[in-house]
Amino acid sequence: MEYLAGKYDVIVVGAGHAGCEAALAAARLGCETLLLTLNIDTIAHMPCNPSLGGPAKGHLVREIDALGGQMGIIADWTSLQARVLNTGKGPAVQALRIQTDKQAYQNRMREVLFAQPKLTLLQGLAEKLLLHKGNRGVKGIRTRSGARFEAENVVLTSGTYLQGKVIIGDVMYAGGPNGQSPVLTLSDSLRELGLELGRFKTGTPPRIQRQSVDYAKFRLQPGDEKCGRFSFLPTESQFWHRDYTRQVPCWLGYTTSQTHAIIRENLHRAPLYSGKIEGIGPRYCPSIEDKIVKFAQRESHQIFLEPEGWQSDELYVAGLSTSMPEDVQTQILQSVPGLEKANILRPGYAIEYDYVKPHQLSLGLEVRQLPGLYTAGQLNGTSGYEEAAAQGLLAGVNAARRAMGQEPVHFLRSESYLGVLIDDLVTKGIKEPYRLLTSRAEYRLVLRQNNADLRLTEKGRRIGLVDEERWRIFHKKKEDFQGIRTLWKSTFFSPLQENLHAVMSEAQSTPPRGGVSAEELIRRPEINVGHLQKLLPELNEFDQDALEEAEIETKYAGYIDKLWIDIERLTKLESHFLPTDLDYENIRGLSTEGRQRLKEVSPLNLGQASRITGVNPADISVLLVFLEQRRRGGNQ
Amino acid sequence: MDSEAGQVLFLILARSFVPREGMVVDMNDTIVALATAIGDTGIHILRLSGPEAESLLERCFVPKNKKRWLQRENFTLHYGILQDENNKTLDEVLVGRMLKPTSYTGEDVYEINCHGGAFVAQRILQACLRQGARLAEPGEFSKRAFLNGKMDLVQAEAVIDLISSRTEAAADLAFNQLSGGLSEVIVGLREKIIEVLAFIEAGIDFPEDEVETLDRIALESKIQNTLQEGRYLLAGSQTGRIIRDGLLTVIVGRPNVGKSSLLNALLGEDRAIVTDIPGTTRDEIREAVQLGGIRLNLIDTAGFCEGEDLVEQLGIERTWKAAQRAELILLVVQAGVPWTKDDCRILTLYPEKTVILANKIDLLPPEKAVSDFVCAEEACKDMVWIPFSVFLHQGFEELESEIRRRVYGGKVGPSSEPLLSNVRQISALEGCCMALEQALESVRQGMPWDILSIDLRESLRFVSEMTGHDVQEALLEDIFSRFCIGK
Repeated sequence: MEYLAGKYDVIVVGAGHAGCEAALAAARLGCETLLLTLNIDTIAHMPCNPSLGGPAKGHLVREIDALGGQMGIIADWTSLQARVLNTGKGPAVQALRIQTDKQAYQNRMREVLFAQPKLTLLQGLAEKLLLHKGNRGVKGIRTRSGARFEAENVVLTSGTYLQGKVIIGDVMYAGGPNGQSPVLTLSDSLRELGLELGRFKTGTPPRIQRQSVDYAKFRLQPGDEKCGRFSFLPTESQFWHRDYTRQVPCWLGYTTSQTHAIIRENLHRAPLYSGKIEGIGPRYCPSIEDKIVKFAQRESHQIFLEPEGWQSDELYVAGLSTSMPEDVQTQILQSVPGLEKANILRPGYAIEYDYVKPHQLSLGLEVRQLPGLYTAGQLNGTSGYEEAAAQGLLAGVNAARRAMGQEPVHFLRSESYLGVLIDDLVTKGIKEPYRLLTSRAEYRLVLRQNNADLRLTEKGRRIGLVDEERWRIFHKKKEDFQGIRTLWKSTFFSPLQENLHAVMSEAQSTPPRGGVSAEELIRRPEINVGHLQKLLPELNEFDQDALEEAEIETKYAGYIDKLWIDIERLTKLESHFLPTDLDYENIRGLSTEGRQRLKEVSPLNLGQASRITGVNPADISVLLVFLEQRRRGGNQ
Repeated sequence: MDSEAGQVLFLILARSFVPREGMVVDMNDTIVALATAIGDTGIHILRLSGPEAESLLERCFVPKNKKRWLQRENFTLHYGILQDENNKTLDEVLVGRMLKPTSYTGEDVYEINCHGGAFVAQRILQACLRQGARLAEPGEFSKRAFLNGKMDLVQAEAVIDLISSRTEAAADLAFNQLSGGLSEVIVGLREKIIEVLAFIEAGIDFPEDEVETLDRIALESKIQNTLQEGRYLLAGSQTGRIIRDGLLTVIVGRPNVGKSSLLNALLGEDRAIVTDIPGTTRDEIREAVQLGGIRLNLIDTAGFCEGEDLVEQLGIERTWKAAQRAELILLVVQAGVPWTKDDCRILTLYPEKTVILANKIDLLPPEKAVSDFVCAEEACKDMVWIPFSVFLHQGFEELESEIRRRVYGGKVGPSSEPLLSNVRQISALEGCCMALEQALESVRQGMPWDILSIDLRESLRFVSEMTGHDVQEALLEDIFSRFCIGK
């Protein structure tokens, strides 16, 4: 029996990483928000890797943080180990990766949700999306138990649950991730509303008992001594309190030819090759059986054992993602040196699920044909906790803004990885589960993890999610950054200065013949801030991050300036807005393919239009002329 | 003929431009294009439009009356010298100045009037491109005129037609219609750049996977090799080389068919007899003539000498050798008269580079169609043949068009050596090589990978302008097939 159970400004369905950020953002912006989850025990669950960050993903977590999101703070608080990757590969691609305590992460997120004013948490299964009659706007949702919740704005973040199907070897059953139940009816409800869905597949490796490992046969992978953190706010790990020696290590081992032989012998039982799996899986995350088949010449593959928690007995076996039958999984594991006696606690599995094809969304993540409906996270065909959280934040913000009668916010590719992610999804469309990579960002050099705050805090403040503390910290860094650059420009060293020669020879740099500015010195590839600090002790008073940022901006100014020229061109194109009611069918002169793709994506502006595959520069020219025609026509 | 010449020009300038990764359609840069038809007209006009047009000319135009030039008076004409980036004189020119907002496009417009001949015009065009101008897209001058309010709404329709119709036609000339050898080389170049980039990007995005890495030395040598290949291709770029050096040409045919009269007629037509021909042994070049703006370097063969008997051993040998080396063979036959064995053999051996001139059509009975006679031979099927009469001076214009079509369409030259054929491609390849040079410099300076990748990506973008592939997807595909990645 259906009954009215409540009215809200925003309803968020699903409390994974996308749902949590969406609900927090909406509530923090002042909206009465309902967060509906299948199970309050599994809020912010990490059904795969117990880690966050790495290239592009780590950048994204810092952006979420700069905008006032939650993920970075909780990751820092529940961190078991922190490492900066890519330290030798350049300023833009260094990225923090943090191993977290899964359980602690969930607990902490639940505490934050409970403590959040205006946010209501409820366990229940959303079964149907309700629409207003006629205008097709969203009206709310109905749960399986008959409760009707009304809201003009609904954010769907149902992850991999839609029509979820778990596959382990020859066994197949309807299910969600990690033993959860699937959501079977919502897909039909979405299809009825005209949404186009696709089917993807992903998988996870087995978990093993940590006491059953012979660590002598593995190599220790410790965290960094100088520990990074995601949040720009001063958050510490509750476990090791900046005492890096207490971090929990990972372990590195290898598969053997025996492992590969076992897999080959059992390939006929692998659902990937027996035709049981129909969904498309990610290329960057192949299962071990996939690796053995595709890279047959390789004699071994590496395996990382990652701790699932501070006190957890479980280890995540990274590199052994598989959907082979359970008996084969045991054989595979036990063929790895050091895992001869390994106990499987949870077998690996593959999961197929429905996703919403993201070209149906706006750049603000609103479903274009269903005003008020937003989708975010794995439901949009992405993979990864970080990608999900970032989308959740954006969808939550825009749902709240719509509730308050404000225009949606968008993010540019030149401004953030968040912008790259959303634009890729909406504009280019996807053919496999989407993972953010730094190589997807054409303006990578200006999108560094350490300047995420300089790039985005002001925008976050305007949106309304940046609190006083964050704002104050940001201002200090920004002022330091500018102060350092001014100081470098105005400070000149005489060749006779006492320690100049010593510092130059330490840096293996040719001593300057005449006077030289600090700026000129730092531009030399071999000179770093450390060297400059010896020549200019005042620098020690500045924020260390600001110093590093100033160094990068000065050293690579040539490249950065060139990128900015490109960015300005793009910005100009993005300032030409395309009305949403534009009838591309009736615009003369568009190429056939261009017209088709423009109709599908319905781009927000010319910049977005120019990135659609199949839209050529002549189409953009035609649109420009058309817009001008329309403008003048309107004036007459 | 004019419309065909115009079409050739258009094909050169408008060859399909493909969207590239992070493509930015720029509305405010400076564009340039040839405003006149290619060929040996009296003068050529190049049009420059955009904010940088003036500063660009400051760098390559030396006005005779500097004071007057600096007065920046609108609608004035200036005489002077146009130079390339090495201050080498390209031509004496007249530069017309039309300033914004009164010019055609509403931007600063400069028109360079140079001497006729495709050679000069092309060199000036390339000089402008090297100085930072971009080759105009089809209809782009008109588009700017409209956007800047220089045209009324009615004319907008015409602008759209111009943009779209020309693009449809340009699409016909897609990359895969280039000669096979050339597309292979460009694809090869692109793959090499992708390979280097894949090593770098895979290392960056998958730092914990077992991705092979390249050390500095390996990286340097890979980039160096790629650059060399690009430079080699550039050095042999079709239009540039042929315009610079001319086309090695041989006239063959049996005795008394009209070879000498043809030669004399060509010489009579000639506007510039060239004596200094680089890259060829001077004593074997009998004459050089200009036809359709293309220099034909005529190889002195036995075939030239009127009355010389082809059966004579030495003569045959020289003629066949010349035919083998030639880039263009003009096979003169007599319309309506059966072919000799040698005529057929030329066609069988060199179908690609031969043009058949069916001479003496003036001797045919007037009531018969020309084609009945010319195409009678089996060997002639599907070949380009031109009804010709040296006596009546018929067929010269068709011959000109045919030669231009081949040169600018990338259809001449020894097939073993792939050559680039048009301005846009050459410009893209130049950009690619410059980016690779910068990459090499970055490696040598020890720049980090993410910086290096910017140079390499730029070179890749330029190559992809020629090939039209999606860079991002191609790169990811290469990474995932080359490296075993993933947890």
